[in-house]
Amino acid sequence: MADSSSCSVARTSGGQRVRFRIPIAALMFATVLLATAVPAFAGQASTGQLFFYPCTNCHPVTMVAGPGGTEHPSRPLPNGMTGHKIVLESHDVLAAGGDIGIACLTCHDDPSRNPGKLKIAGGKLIDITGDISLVCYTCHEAKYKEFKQGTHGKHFASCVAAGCHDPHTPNYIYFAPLKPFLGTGFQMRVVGANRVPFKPIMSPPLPPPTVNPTWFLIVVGVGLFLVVVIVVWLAAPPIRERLKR
Amino acid sequence: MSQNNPLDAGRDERPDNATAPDGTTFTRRTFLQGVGLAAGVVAAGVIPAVLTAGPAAAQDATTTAAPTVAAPIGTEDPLASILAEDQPANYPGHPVYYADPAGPEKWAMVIDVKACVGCRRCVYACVEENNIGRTSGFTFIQVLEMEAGKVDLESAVLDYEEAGRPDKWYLPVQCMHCAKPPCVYGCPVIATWKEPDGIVLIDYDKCIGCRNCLITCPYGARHFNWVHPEVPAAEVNPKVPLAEKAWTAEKCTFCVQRTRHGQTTACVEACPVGARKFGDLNDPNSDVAILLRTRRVWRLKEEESTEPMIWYVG
Amino acid sequence: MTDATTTQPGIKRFIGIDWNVGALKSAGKRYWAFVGILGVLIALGLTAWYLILTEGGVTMAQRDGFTWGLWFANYMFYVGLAAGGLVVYASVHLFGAEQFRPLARLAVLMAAVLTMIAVLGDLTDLVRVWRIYWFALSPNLTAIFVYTGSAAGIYMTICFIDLWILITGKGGEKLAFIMTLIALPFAIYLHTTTAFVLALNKSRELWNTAVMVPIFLSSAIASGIALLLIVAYIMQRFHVLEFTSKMFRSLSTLLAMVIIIDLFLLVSEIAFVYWPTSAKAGHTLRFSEFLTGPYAGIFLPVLILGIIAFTLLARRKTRHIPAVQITAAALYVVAIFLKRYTLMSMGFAIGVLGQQQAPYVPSLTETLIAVGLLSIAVLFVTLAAKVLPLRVPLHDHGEVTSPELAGQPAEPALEQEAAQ
Repeated sequence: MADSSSCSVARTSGGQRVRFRIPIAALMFATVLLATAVPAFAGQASTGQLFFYPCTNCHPVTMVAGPGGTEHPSRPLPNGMTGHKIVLESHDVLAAGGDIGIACLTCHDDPSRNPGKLKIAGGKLIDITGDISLVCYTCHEAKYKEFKQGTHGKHFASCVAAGCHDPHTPNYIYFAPLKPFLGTGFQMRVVGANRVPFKPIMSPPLPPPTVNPTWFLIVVGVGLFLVVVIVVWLAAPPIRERLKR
Repeated sequence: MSQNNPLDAGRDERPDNATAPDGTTFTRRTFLQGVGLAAGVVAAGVIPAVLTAGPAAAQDATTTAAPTVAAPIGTEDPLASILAEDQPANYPGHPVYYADPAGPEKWAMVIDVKACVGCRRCVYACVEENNIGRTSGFTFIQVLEMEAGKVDLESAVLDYEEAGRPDKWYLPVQCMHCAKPPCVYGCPVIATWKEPDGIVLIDYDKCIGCRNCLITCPYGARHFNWVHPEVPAAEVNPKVPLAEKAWTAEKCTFCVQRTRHGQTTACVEACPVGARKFGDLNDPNSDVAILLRTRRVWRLKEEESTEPMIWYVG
Repeated sequence: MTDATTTQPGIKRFIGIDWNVGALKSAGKRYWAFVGILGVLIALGLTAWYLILTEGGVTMAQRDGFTWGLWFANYMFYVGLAAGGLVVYASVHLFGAEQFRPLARLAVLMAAVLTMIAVLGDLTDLVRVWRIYWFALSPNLTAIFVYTGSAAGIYMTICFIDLWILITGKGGEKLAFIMTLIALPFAIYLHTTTAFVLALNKSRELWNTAVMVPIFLSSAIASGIALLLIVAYIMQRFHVLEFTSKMFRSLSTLLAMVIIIDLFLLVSEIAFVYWPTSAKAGHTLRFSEFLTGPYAGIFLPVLILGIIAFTLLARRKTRHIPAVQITAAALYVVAIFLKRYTLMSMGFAIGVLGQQQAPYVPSLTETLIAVGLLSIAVLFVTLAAKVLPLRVPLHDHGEVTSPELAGQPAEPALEQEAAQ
């Protein structure tokens, strides 16, 4: 069913990105997780922690029976939330032209309205704290096999938990770049050149910093002064003669 | 020379002689002798020079793989010819002092340029692992921002500030540990060589600092310590030389201090997106062997025929 | 043909040569002032070298992107000058060009001294110079550096021995002829291997061309002849040696011929880089740095000065004027120095990964070392002008090399300098 009362989704249109509201605490938590991911996950297996969404903060994994044989979450969403907007990139094609909610239902369980339950092949439901890669496997079999082999991504137990692909915007992995290492201008490169082929750039020469100790400069100064004195002494008589004439 | 008759000036008694006014005799015989001698002299000078360039060609011939025996399609190992090319070169017969002896592996690396976002975490991890001087002005790994749609180094940018741009792609370049390394062939004192497991190493005690290897490397992978390398005391890696490297050349060693103990390289560990794979070509189940067998791969500057051991995929 | 002047005062005999030490004692203040200048410059060069040995490579303006600097441009330049002069001298024996015989000793002296400072320049660049012994212990036979380094050392030795043979006259004309047969191939070998140091690098696109060897040879011969002409005029001006104007004219004709060959090779290389069917972005982008880019100011003079030098010498009517000859020779020596400098820069202007390097300007240390080495060479020649018998006596067979010298005694320069 396409009832979208519990999660409102904005469809991307014409490349515009629609802002989605996330609780600030969740955003900060996710950022901290992201920042500590690199050393934490270097070469280690996933611990089952969720990376992009600390979903279990809000979404309960325990369901309680409700009236009429339905299930509903054991505790309500905080702050009176009725849902939050999720942006879908690439996976919005799963809506196949219909309501965007259809795309959500491809992976998220429909009857219980529990986003913490995900559908895998065969209609089985797994928990959001489990191996979510199996959800990706339902469509991306070859990539999943490569992932298990180790040639796609790193050797993690579960790809979503590793924090490589956000399942809602899977094609965009971003890590803020570290600065170029040079910094000191020690080398002689023309920095930041954007060159048009066949049109060389005229750039001011950037001589690299060299070391000239003070004693050296004094010695050189004295020596050059001596040379100048001798040259003047040598050249003076002929010049004087010329001037006399 | 008879200068009595002015009309005779320029002529001599003997035929076929020409006498210049200042008295030089220039006969046809002299000319032919001179030309013959000159040709012989030039040949005597050029031929040895050409022959001394011959050993490089000879080296080329010896490292080319033996012709493969015809096998049914699909049964021959695509890595066999690559493994055959990767022979030791100028190996001194003993390991370098800062590394353990080589094992039976053949090390190679595959970099997924579709996954690389240009974040430079590999660059920094390498700097910290290998005691690269913080003021030395170089890094072993250089990540280039490339124009989409072509592999054009002349329009690559090295010092980009913004990464992950969708209209560019990112190409990390470092020492390729080539099977036919121009740096090894060009070092006049054999201070650099190719080990039996494929890693090209430098003996910092032998390097005379002539920087010929920096010139012959087509990938700009070798760097020179123009200053004494300075590393903060708390960050020094005791397994890697530091002071010995002053005024010598250095480069990526595939983290020889780690990989000969069964660890992987620092850059492979640091890559947050898993774009780097390092492994043993002899092991059919290693990441690199699987990728080379199953994916479409390419190498940088293949036309230079240096046979680099770093492939790119994606 | 030894000079039988052992009984004259001030002559000391040593290793078979009569060293005219007395001429030094009677040399004037101006001579010693000039030597003083050279001495100060040499001292400054030594100080700069001391700085390199203690501070390391940071004192130089070379960096990873621009790996070799002024010392290498000078190496190519001096090695070229050395061989050029020797070609002139060798043509005496090969082509029977007797008009150049008076230049013989001067040419060989210059060849020896210039090669010496070329090798010294190479050594000053190596910060860890004491490791040179590895060349002998473990030379790499596929490295062209081994061949060019050893060639330079051996060539320098050959030239010094040749000079000794010429001055002492041991072995006569026959031995001198044999030495020519050894020295000249070695000069060409030295040049070929120096050109190979550049050309045998597939990583450096502009260097990796076979025409590098002929360009090196023609530039070397042309610049060597030009410098020899200038130094011969200087020696004549200071009454150390005397030559005929016919010899200078002959030299100028030879110089003009070699200049045009040199220019032709350079122009054909430029055509090769830019012709549409052979142009590659790597080549044209790099060469454009030199025609229209930051290096244009030092590369275009190579062509312009070369053309001017040739046109000055091309006119038969004016070729005999000394001012014309000296101007053309001086212009061409400068042009070849700029050519060596830009040739070196061509390998580095845009790096192997497409990164543009800032143009290289030698640092203070490098400049002082280069000036110091040049001063050493000038000092050698200045002292030799007084001390060594550079004047070539009458030929063995009695043929007179020039009418003016026919009636002069063996060492006329001695009286002239004693009078100073």
